[in-house]
Formats: sequence, C-alpha cells, structure tokens
Amino acid sequence: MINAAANVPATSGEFAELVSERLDELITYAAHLVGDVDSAVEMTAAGIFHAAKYPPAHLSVDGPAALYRSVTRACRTGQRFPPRPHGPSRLWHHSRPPFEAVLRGGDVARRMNTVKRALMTLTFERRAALLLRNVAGLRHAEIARALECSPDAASKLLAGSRRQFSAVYREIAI
Amino acid sequence: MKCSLLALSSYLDGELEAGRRAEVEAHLVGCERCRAGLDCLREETERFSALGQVHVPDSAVPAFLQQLGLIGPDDVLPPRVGRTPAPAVPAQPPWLGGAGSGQALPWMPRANGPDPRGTAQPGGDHRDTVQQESDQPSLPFTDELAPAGLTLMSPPSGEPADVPEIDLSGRSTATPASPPPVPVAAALPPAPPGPPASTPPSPESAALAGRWIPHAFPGVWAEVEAGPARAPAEVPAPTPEVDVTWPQPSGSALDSFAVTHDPLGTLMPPAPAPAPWATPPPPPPTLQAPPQPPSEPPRPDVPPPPRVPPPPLVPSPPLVPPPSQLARPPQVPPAFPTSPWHTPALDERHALRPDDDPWSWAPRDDEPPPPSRGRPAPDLSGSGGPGFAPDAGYAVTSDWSGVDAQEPRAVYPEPDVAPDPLIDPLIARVAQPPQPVPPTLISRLRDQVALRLALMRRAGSDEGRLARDAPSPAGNPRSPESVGPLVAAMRSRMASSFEPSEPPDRGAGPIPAPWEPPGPDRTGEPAWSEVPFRSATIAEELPRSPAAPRVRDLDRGPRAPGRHTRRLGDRHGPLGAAGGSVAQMAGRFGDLPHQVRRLAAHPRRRWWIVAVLAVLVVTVSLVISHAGGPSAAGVAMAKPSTRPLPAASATLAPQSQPATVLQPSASTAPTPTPAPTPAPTPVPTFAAQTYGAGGSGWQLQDVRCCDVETGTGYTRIVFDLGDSSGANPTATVSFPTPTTMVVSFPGVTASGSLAASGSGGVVSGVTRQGGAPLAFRLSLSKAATVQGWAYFGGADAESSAPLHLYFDLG
Repeated sequence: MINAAANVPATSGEFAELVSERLDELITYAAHLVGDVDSAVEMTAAGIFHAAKYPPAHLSVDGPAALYRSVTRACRTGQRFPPRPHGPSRLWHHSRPPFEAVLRGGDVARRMNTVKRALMTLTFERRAALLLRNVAGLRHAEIARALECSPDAASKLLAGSRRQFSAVYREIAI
Repeated sequence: MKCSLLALSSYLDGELEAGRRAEVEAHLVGCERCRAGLDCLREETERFSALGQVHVPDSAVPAFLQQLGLIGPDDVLPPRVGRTPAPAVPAQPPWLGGAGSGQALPWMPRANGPDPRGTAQPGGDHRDTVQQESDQPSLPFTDELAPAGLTLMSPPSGEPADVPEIDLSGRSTATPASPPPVPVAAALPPAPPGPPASTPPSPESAALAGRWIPHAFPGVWAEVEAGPARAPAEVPAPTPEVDVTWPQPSGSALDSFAVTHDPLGTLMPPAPAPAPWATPPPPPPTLQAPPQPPSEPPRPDVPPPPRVPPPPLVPSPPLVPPPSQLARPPQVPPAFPTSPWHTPALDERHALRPDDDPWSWAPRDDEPPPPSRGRPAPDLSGSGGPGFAPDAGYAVTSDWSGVDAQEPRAVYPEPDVAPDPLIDPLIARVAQPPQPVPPTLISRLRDQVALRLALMRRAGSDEGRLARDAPSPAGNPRSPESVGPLVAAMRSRMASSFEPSEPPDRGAGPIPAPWEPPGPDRTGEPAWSEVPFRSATIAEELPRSPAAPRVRDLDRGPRAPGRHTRRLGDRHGPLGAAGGSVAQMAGRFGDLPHQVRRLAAHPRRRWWIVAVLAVLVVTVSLVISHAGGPSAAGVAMAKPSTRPLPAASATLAPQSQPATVLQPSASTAPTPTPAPTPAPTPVPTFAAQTYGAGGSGWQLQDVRCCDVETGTGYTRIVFDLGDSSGANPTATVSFPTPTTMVVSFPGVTASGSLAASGSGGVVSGVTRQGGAPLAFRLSLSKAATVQGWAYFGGADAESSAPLHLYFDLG
C-alpha cells in the first residue's frame, strides 16, 4: 500500500517555518565556514533559495539536512543571493544592495579566537564536518546528507577532522 | 577491540549501536590511552562553544524570507521557537566517571534500603526493571530480551561454584559447562525473535513477562518483564541494564533457591556439580565481584507474594499461566532448567567446551599469543616441573607468585599439540627472558665502530641529550648493558621508526635474539594527539600507493574541479584563483564594493592592476604630447601658409628690452603702430613684401640675426641703418623657398664694415648677394614667416645706429 500522505510535498509555509526556526544556526554555520558574516548571509540565502526550489520529499525528516546541504554547497561554490554579476561588467556595475537583515551578534561572530583560527587551517570539508556536528548538532547520517557522502565517510571525516583540529589547536594555543 | 579514533569519535557522538558501544565502553575501562583520547575529544567538542553565534532578530526574519520569495508580504510567520541543539557530548557512563558515578554501579550489591530509582517492586522484591537502551555492556543471549526488560536473579547462597565472574570488560573468566540436553517439559512455542530496538514491548515480549528463563550461566536466572515503552528520541540514561546479584558463599542448599517464583511450575534445575574449570579464578584487580553477600536474605520456601499475571495475549495463549499452576507449590526441578524454546539442537549449538571461551564471539582486547610461540615449554623429562602438570593436561605458567598452588590456572590447554623434541627446545630457548650479553672483543670492536660512525654522522650533537633519549630496555631487543649509552642512543635513533608490531622472522639463519613484545610500561609515551592510530581506518593514514587505485578522500575534494566544486574566485577569469574558498582578507577594506575588495585582496591581481594603469598612463601621455608638440606645428607650417600676416604692434616688442626703448623718438617720429603696409588679404608666403616709406640715402651698417626672444619663440633680425635722416628706406622680403628668406634694400648702400655672416635661432646662415640692389639671403633651419616688423629710431642696447629695422620670424 502506498502511503499517499507521506508523499505530499511540503508547502512553502512549512518550509518557511523550518527556515525561520533554523536561520540562526544556518547563518552561524555559514559564517564560521566561510569566515565572513556578510558573505555568510548571502550564501545562506542562496542555499535557502536553492532548497526552496528543490525541496526534500520529507521535510520533517530531511529538511534540516537538506538546508545544510544547500548552504554548504552555496558556500563551497560561492553562490550568493542576490546573484552577483559575472564578467567584466562587474567592475563598474553596481551590485544590488545586501539583505536587510539586521544581525545582532555579528561583532561576536567576527571576533577571532583560537578556535576560529584553528578552524581556518582545516580544509573546507573538514571544517564543515566539525561545524555540522558541534555547531549545528547534526547526527552522522545528517552530516553525510549535508556533505553528500556516505555515513561511513562522514564518520571518518569527522574523526580525522577532530584529530587535526586537536593538533592544530594545541599548536596555536598559548 | 583495538584502539580506534573512529570508534572513539563515533562513541562520543552516540552514533554506535548498542553492541559496539558496549565494546568501546569495555575497552575504555582497561585502556588508559583511549580514555585520555576520549577526554581530549570531549574537550575539543566543548571548545566550539567559544565560537560566536549569529542571531537574526525576529523582526528581520520576515523581510529576509520575503526577499527570498518564501512568504508573501501579507504572510505571518509563527513565533520562532528557540531550538535547543542536541547535546554534542553524551552523558558518560558511571563506570567511566561520568554523571551518576556516585550511584551504585550495576555490579555492586544492592542495599536493603528502598530503591533510589523507585523501580523496586513492592514486597521487597529486589528485581530491577531495566530500560531498553542503556550504556551497560550487554551480556550474551540477553540482547534479544533486552527490549522487553530483563531481570536477572541469583541463585541462593551457597553455590559459589556455579556463578561465573563477570568483569567490566564484559567477559566471563570462567567457562560454564555444557548443560545436558533436557527434553522440553511442556509444549512451548519456539523462541520468539527479538523485537527491534526502540520499539514498544511487543506482544511476544509481553507474553514472556513474568516467565523465568535460564540464563547462559547456570544458577543465574532471568525473569522477563514487559519493559516500559520509551520514546525513540529519548536519550538513554546510564542506568544499568542488567542487575546481577552475587550469591552468598554459604552452604545452603538449592532448595532455598527462589523457585517459588516460578509461576508456571516449570522444572527448576538442581545444583549442578561444580566443574573443576568453573572454579572462580582470582578476580581481576579492577573488576571483581563484590565480596559482600547479597543484601537480600535467602529466599525461603514460602511462596512469594502473588504476582499479577500478565494480561492474556493473543499470539501465545498457552503462555498464560492458569490459576491452578499459580497456586500450585513450586517443584524442585530434577534437571537443568530449560527455556521454553530450549531444544537439544540448541544445546548442541551452544555447547561450551572446556577449552572454549563463551565470549569468543566478541573481539578480545588481549589476544592470546599464538599457540606455538611464547609458550613455556613442557618438561620433556617427565619428572614434571613447575610449569607442567601432566595430570591435569594444562600448561601452567611457572611464575604464579601469589597464586594458590592448589588452584591451577589453565592457560589455553592444547591437548592436540604433542610435544616435539625438535621444536620445543628451540622454543624454550627462544622463550627465555633476555639475558645481558657479556661483552666480547667482537662486540667491543663493533661498538667502537658504531660509536665512530655515530659521531661522524652526528657531529656536534649533544651527548647529554642522546643519553637522555636512550630507550628503555624493554624497547630495545638487545640488552643495553652490553653497549654504551651513545651506541644505545644511536640505535634508538636509527630504529625510531621501527614499531615492534610483529616478531622478526625466525625461519632462516641463526637463532636471533629473543624478541620481546612491548610491555605495558608506557613511561615516556608521547602525547595522545601525536601518536597515530594505526588501527583507525582513516584514509589519510593508510599508506598511499600510487599504483593501486583508491578512492579519493572526500575532504580533499574531487580530482578535477567540476561545475559544482569550483572554489571561490576560480570562475572570474585568468587572473587566478582567490587562494581558496575563504577570502580571509575580506572585510579589511570596510564598505568598499566587493569587486574592488576582491581585486585588491589578491597581490597577483594587484600587480595586474598596476601594470594596466601604467600602460594607460603612458599611452595617454604619448597621445597628448604628440598632438600638441612642435612637430605637428612644423608639419603644418611646412605647407604654404595662407594665414594673414599679423599686424605689427607693441605687443610684439621684446619683453627683455625696457619699455622706454620701444618708445619712438621724437626726432624720427616713427609710429610704434605704423600703418600696416601689407594688404590685409592673404598672400602667399613666398610673395615679396615691401616695408618702409621708400626713403633713400641710407647706409646699412650691420645685420644682427641671432636674437631669440625669450618666451616668444621668435627669431629677431635687426638691420642697423645710418647716415640719413629721411624717410624710412624700403625693404623687400621674399621667400623663394619656405626655408629661404631674401631681404633686399633698394636705394640703400652698404657700409664698408658690413658683416654678412651670422646665425642664430632659426637662421642658420646669412649671405650677401651681389649686384644691386643690396640684398641678403637668409637660410632658415625650418619654415618660418615674418610675424612682425617695425622701424625703430634711435640707439638701442646693442647699436648706436639712428634707425633699426626689426623682423621677427616664427
């Protein structure tokens, strides 16, 4: 028997609620992933835009992982929303105004500490794995969905990231 | 189980399944290194709380979502609920010093007081209802019953031989005997399959509630209870899963066993005879059964308080005990108890041999050595030595200090291995502990050579540091007493990369020095983070072989950048990448446009910008200078000019001369602004022009043509006239060629001292032409015209002639 109720696509309102609930964590994750809060807002918006365009089948189950997957992809490829002009015209073309989202705590996020310095020495995937686990609180299966890999690979990546982060942190900590 | 960073990381995140988690916990009890590693990982996880958190205020969220098109301007979002992230660090089990470590451990005897958890049943029943998921290491044959809740009860006091010892590593140090197959007393359904974890109690488990089942260990009885349903997402509390109480070592009989609790009246086993191998060995130092007797008194024969029978179940109605059986007095089972699904085939399957380990299904922490290596050789003389007990058939270790001699300790008996007179002496020789090698002449000479080589290779090294870094005798296969400290240090340095993971090959050649496995001494061990986990399956730690195809590491990105894996800045043209996916320099320039920031952030692009600007500046300057330079004017003036000659005026007077000089004298009355003789109509440059009033009697005294007026760019030619006071003489100027000027003076004679030579300015030469009238040919370096002329009476600064004729060429 086909469970028709399980295949009902999520509405935009439900997706908006999910985004509203996870917006702080998404921007925090992207900010520590790319190292810049301003870029993090635009890349998070690009990821949310993409996730809204291709929503997951089961929003309650795959929703958070899909959001983090889209944001991670946007941060990896540099996608921004609104999109920035390409080509030589970008040199004299005025960019669109940034989002009108008021960030509170942006100074705190911009502040550089030892953890952030150690994070910046890691590769993108390792940094993403650590942040997805320790900042976003995702499980390994969700991390695997966000990083588009298998759960075993996510576990190994997380273990290697922890070890490298530990070594780097001990190296640069006073 | 081996030390594994991957396992520790997964354990820290709570991602391991119950069995694997139990293995890790059991391993953590005995492995100090992994405990330190786990603490380190936990500290690293806690450090992430130092990262800043970005918070978007609630008032800004709707605008944000509206720009994304997720909601309309009239949509109203529900209030945001502060979501609590999942705890990154799970609770630590009590036996690892975590929360609740002060509580009673699962293997500790229960006190007579009330159950602190409130799970004790009324009537003084000491059973403990367990939860579905727990951090407690699982026991064999009980995993399938764990979801239903399990209560293990101990036999009455007086049966110490039947109770195995359970240590924290989850293993039994004594092997139980194979129970004899007993026919099933009642027709009972087969063993129900174990329900999946995290599910409410199934009907099967509920049907088994209240039933007494024999555990794998004889004498340990288990009662199945319907465990409470738990939410799947609930974090399992570190409550013990299995409560094992220990019997009182008294001499009471089996009839004191709590068989009265048998609701079905099934057969209860008699006390099986204690097997010799079942004698409990000395407890391990860290884990041992508590010597205290069980808190509850031996169960009397009186029936316990009536139990509420489980509700009738549909799948297995025969399991519901009839009231007659409940009221019937308990019977002493004449044989070994059998479970409802107990069959002879199952007994055959689970038969435990004396030399078998009931925990052999689980990976071992301490792998036993190979059967033919490192084993004390038996005494072949037959007289029996301290390490051989031929009667018992066990190989007994020889150094059992502190162990009762009446208690032989079996160490993997091998009845099928017959002593070999050829191999065993060699093994015995090899197995001897390392003895210090007495120094011989050869060894001294060898050490001297090695010392020389070491000094040559490491000239200038610190001897004290070498001596300090000398290894311990346990890590050096040779005895360090035979060599000096320098040689020992050299050997340790040369063998620093050597890891004694396996003994050297002994197949050929002479018998090498006895290899000694690394001992438990870990003094001087480096930090945990510096030691790689050899057993970890991290791809980056595996040896990389370029020939063998392997899966590329995930964190290193794809082999070739694709469309979805391009890094930031790579798509912006040939100026180069942005140096990674993170622009660490971003934000330094404040609110400048992002294009300028991106361009200025990279030094390579900065050089490109400087080079382009330099080329642009040079080009513009060249264009400007070429368009307004003198060369262009020269070219323009080379052609016959049709411009009208400007009228002579006072503004053409040389600025270097005083103004009074330019004033005409009253005697000559030459007007500074004479009536322009030339016609205003344009005439060709080479047409003859006549200047003057046609006076006669004048004598030309001198010609000066070397004056270049400063700031004007004109070349002034001055003709000095004298010996007359009449009207101004007539001068005719013509240009046969653009660079040739001919000036003739009809009616003027030349003085005897007239110099007809000179040059200056654009005039490269002056030549007096012969014949009449008096004429001069001036060769010009470039094309020029007469820009102004004037008759000036009176002496000027350089000549005292009464009349001067000026021509300005330009």
